[in-house]
Amino acid sequence: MEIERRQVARFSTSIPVGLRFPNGPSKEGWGRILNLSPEGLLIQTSFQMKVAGVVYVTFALKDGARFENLRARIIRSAYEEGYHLAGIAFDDVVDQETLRDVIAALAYEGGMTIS
Amino acid sequence: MPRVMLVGLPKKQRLQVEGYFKTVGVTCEALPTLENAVEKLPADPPTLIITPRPDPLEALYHLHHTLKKSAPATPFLVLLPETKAAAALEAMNAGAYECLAGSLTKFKLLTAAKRATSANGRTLFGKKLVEEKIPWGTVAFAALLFLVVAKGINARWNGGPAATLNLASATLSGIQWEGRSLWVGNWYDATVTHYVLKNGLTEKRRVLSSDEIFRMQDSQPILVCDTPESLVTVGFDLKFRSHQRALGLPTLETSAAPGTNPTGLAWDGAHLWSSDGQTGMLYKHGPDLRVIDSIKSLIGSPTGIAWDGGALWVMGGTPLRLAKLERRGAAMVWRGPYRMTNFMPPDVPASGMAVGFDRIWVVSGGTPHMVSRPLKEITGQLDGWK
Repeated sequence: MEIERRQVARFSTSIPVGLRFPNGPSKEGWGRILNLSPEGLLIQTSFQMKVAGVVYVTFALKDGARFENLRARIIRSAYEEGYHLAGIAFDDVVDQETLRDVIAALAYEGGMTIS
Repeated sequence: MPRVMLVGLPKKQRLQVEGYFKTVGVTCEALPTLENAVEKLPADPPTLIITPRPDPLEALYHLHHTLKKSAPATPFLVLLPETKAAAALEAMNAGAYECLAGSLTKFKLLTAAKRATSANGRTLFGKKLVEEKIPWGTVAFAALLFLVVAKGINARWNGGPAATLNLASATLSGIQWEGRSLWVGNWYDATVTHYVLKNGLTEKRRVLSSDEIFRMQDSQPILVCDTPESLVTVGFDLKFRSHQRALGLPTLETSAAPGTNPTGLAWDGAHLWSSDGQTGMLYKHGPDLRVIDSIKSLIGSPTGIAWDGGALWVMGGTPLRLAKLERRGAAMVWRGPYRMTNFMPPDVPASGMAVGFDRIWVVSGGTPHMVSRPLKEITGQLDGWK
């Protein structure tokens, strides 16, 4: 039996996300957030996502809440047919208030809780 | 049957995109504007729409609204001229599933199209896509090969002449190579001829072509040397003259020769040098042609000197020898002498000497031929001064 280790809710969605890479061949890119939680995001993008790399994410939710340049770290990455599926975790630099805003906005958005 | 609607794409790009989709068996339909697409798609919705980013963006919102209402399973892709995240986010927030920027490769387009349609529960094509890697090894090898071939062709094109050249006169005096130019004095005609060596892939093509002929007014040249400022000659009257390179070679400066048997003239890039067979000295001349310095020649009776761009070569003696005077810091050092065996008959004195194309060239009285030998071949034979 699989043990659920996730402690927070995750929301399945398809939100456009802007990416900024401080290092690497591309300086900026974009993709889609496939699911998100206050801890991090699962992103689908055609831009290269290397594990342990830093990425700044910018996205907006339907209620108008906009999150700009949240610093995050790529913790896992898989590649298939031109697209990278990357799990990224928000850095400690992102303050708790911002995280609470994300959760509140997600709740307002009504994304589907999958875990 | 899956179908892609291409809206507002320039002809060249449309043909490119159609070609890409053809490889996976997907047909395309082209429409000029988004308004046309919005009118047409409720009746016959395509599997996917591809359009450049419109300006203003309202047309995209309108397209998205129409699709939501009448074709909710049809996504659209937006093509951007540049990789700008802000522009991409605007288009995606207006409903585009994905934005493609920069050069539109087959792989980039087809993977985005496949992903967009499958995210909307539709299948555009089933073929697995693999990115075509550029064979960098092959490209590098081809580039290297090209460079080697180009270098070889260039070297041949700019190559030297045949080892023996016929200058069509048996009264030749001084000679001087200056890149692909050859200056030749003729004491009998009192002329100085400027030849240019033609370029060519074969030695047969690389022949001398007469460019200018100057006739001296006041003497007959026994030595010639071109310098940046003027043409310098030494005449039968044992006078050094600098001439304007013009009709009649008007004289600019005159100076008496430092010895009674001047045998060579050379320009080292800064100063004129001369050799004298009677004194056995090499003389360095100032701008007014007067001697400013002198060096005892390593070879007792020099019969010619020439500058190769880095050193002064001195020829002379019996049997014929060659020596090299090199600059080392502030000092000058000799290398050699080297024996010049089987080069010229011992009883035929050289009347002119030059260095060019890594060869030593000599002319002598009574023959129109300028003969040469590779310097490397000669410098391999160090003479022991027995």
